[in-house]
Amino acid sequence: MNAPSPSPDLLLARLAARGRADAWDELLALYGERVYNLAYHFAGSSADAEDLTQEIFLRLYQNLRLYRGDVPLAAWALRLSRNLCIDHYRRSRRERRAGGVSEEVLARLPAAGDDPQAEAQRRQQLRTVYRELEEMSEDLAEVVLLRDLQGWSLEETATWLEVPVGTVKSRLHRGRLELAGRVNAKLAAKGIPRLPVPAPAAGLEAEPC
Amino acid sequence: MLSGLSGACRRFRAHFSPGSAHPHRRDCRECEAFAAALESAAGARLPLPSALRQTLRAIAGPEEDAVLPFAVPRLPVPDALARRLRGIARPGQTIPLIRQAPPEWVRSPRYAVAASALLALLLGPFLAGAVDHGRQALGAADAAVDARMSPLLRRTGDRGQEEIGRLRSTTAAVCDAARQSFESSLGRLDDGLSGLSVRLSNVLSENLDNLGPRSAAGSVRRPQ
Repeated sequence: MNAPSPSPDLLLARLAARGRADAWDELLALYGERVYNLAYHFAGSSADAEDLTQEIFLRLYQNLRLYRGDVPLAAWALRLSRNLCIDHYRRSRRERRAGGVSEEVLARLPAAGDDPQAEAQRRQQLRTVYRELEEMSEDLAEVVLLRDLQGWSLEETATWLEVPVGTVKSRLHRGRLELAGRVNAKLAAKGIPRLPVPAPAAGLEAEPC
Repeated sequence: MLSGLSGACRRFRAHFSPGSAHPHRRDCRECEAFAAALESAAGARLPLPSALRQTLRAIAGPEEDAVLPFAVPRLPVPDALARRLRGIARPGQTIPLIRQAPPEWVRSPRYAVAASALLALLLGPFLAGAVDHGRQALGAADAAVDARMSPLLRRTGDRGQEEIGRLRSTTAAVCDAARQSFESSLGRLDDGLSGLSVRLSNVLSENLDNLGPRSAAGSVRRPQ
C-alpha cells in the first residue's frame, strides 16, 4: 500500500520542503557552515559571502521538492550552489583582491603547541597555498580546494563537478603535485619548511580527454 | 484508539511510514496531523554543536596526501546570517533583501564609454539648440546693455571731454607760468654770470700788467 520508507536525507528534504521549520533548521545545521565557507572562498569577503549563502539556501529551498534521494542530500545541496558560486566569482573577479586566505580563517588556525615560530610558518604556508591556488588551472584548483581545504568527500566533490569519482582522484593527485611544487618553490625562497610532496600516483585512472 | 476512525483512516495509520505521500493524507486533515507528528518524531535529530564539530574535525586531521599537514579551520555561520537563513522557511518572516551587485553596464568602462557616446548623440541636437539659444540670449542682453549704457557712456564721454579740455587749459596755463618763471630765473642767472665774468676779466688784466715779462715767461708751465 505504501511506498518503502524513504532515506533520512529524503525525509528531511520532504519535511523541509513542506515548510517544517524544525527540518529546515536541521538542514541549516548540517550544511550551513559548509555552504558559508564555500561561499566565503568564492566571494572573498564576509558581507558578500553572507549574501551568496542566503542566495544559495533560497535556491535550495525552492528546489527541495525536486530532490529524489538518489545522491546524498549534502552533495545534491552543494551541487545546487555551484552555478551561483561560479557566477558570483566571475562577476566579482574584477573587484576581488589578489587571491588569498582571509584573516578570519588565519585567526582560527589551531595553535601549534607553544612554538610561535611554527605557528607563523603555518600561517605563511596557508597564505601561500591559497595564493598559488589562484594561479592554477580551474579544474585542478577546484578539486584541491574542495577536498583538501574545504574537507569535502570524494563523492561530494564528484557530484559538485559532475564527473566520476575516478576523475576526481586523478585531478586531485595532479593538483596536489602541482600545488606542492609551486608552494615549495615560494617557501624555499623564504626559508620556510616545505610541504610534503604527494607520492607518485599508483593505479589512478587517466582522465578521459 | 483506532476504533472511532473510518476504515480509510485506520488503514492509513496502520501502514503509515514517515515521508509517505499517500493520497489519504491530503484528503484527511486529522491523518495529516498524525503523519506530521510521527515524521517530526522520526526526523528529530539533535544538531551537533559547532564547537564540538570543530574539535572532532581537528581530531580526524587531514588526509595523508593532503596539501597541508593541518586542517584548515572553518568559519562559523554569523548569527545574523543564521537568522536570515531560518527565515527562508518561515513564511510570515520577512527575509532581508540580498544586496545586489551593481549591473555590469555600471561597472565596465566599455559600457561607460558607449553610454557617454550615446548621451552625446542624444544630447547633441539639444545642446546645439542650447548654443543657439545662448547666442540669442547673449545678443539680446548685449542690445539691452547697449541701450541702457550708451546714453550713460555718451554723457560720461561728453562730460569727460569737457573735463579734459578744462584740465588741458589749466595745465597749459600752469605750464606757461612755470616756463615764464623759469625763463626769468635763467635770465637773472645769465645777467649775474655776465657781471661776474666782466669783473673777473678786469681783475686778471690788472694782475697781468703788474707782472714783469721774465717772471711771467718763467712761471709759465707747458702742459706735458
